[in-house]
Formats: sequence, structure tokens, C-alpha cells
Amino acid sequence: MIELAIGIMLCGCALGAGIALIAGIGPGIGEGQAVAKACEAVGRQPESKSAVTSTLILGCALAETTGIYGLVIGILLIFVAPGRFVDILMSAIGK
Amino acid sequence: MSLLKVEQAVRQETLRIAIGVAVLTVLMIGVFLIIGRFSLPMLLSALLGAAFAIGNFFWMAMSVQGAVNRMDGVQLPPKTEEEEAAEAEDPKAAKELTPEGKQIRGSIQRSYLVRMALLAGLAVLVISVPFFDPIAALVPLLFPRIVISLGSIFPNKGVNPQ
Repeated sequence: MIELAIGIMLCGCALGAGIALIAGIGPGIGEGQAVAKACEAVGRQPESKSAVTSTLILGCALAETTGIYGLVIGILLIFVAPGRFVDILMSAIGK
Repeated sequence: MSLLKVEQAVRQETLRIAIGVAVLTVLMIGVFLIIGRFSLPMLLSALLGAAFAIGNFFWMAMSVQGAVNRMDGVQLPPKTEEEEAAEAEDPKAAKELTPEGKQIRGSIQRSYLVRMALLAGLAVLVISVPFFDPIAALVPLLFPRIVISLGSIFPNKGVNPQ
């Protein structure tokens, strides 16, 4: 029974980590699209280059943090959470 | 490999983020001191995380600068009213890119992938090596967002809003 509970916990951690790491894909796609569109805008209006660059850098940094959140949560779920959860389970059942 | 010229916008934004990250890292170290978890490994981990956060931002800014500079000398025709109307009606048409835009998208996505791989390496390192404090190393990675959010709440009076 304990093995089953541990298995379910590990499965949940692995699924959660996978879903969290998927969050890292979206910002990459969005960032690429945003920069490409902004560069096209600069190609049409070269005088707006410095204003577009500044705004684009901050926008990309904001988008990228979402990916970092997902990455950190995913890695914590892979490397830290399983051990902690097993410890909590063992202390709860008194082993 | 020749050294790239760092433009004013990149320098200014990186400096702003670096100062903000440094201040927030000092605050975080203060919190660790108050809760009694301050130690040399924690300090080194915090410095490593802050350095990575600033380095990641600078690398991203340089990628964006490189992408924008690719458009130097490229003069795209202004959009016609028909094109704008078609884009307003069909979102797929608005997403379509020119050949230059497609190249830029690819380069930015590759840069993002490499930076995320490095950050994953850092996260695995600080979690798996017992010397480091994972929380102190990973929390500064999220500071640039806080700095940008605070910057939008309290805008710099010296910066031209354009």
C-alpha cells in the first residue's frame, strides 16, 4: 500500500513537472513572434528604432520570466518534491 | 568573433535592471539574516543567482539588439489600407511574417532555448550540490520582472515616454 502511495506521488510529481516545463515553450514562441513583428515595424519606420528596442527588451524580459517560473517549478518537482513528499508520508505513518 | 557594440537602449535598460536586482538581492539577504538562515553558502548562492539574472537579461537584450540591427538598411513598404483591413479581420494574416521576420524569429527562439538550457543547468546545479542554497540562488532569477513591474508603477521622470 505504501509503495502504491509513493508511486502515485512520484507520478503526480512527474506529470506536474512535465506540465510546468511546457510553460517554458510558450514564451519562446511568443518572444520570437513579437521580436520579428517589431523588427518588421522598424523596417517600415526606421525612426522608431530606439523606442521599439527599449520597449521590446522590457516586454521580452517580462515574457521570459513566465518561462523561468515554469522551469524552476518543473525542476523543483523533479529534484526536490519527491524526496520531501516521501519523507512527509513516512512521518505521517510513523516509519 | 568581433565585439558587438552595445547600444544606448540596451546599456540603459541593463543598468536599470542590474541596480534593481542588486537592491532586491540585498533585501533578500536581509530577510535571510532576520530569519536566521544567513550563511556564506547562502550569500554565494544569492550572488550567483543575481549574476545569472543580470547576465540572462543582458544576453536577451543583445539578442533583441542584434535582431533589430538586422533591419538596418532594409526598407519595407508601408502597409496598405487593404492589408491592414485584412489583418484586422483575419488574425492568421496578422501573424504572417516577411522572410527577414522569419529569420529573426528563428534566431530569437534559438537564443531563448540556449538561455533556458543554461538556467536549467544552474537550477540543477544549485539543487543537486549541497553547498548551495537553492532558494537563495533561484529567487533572484525572478527579480527582473519585479523591477520592470515597479518601473511601470513608478516611471522614471527622466525617460521620454515615447
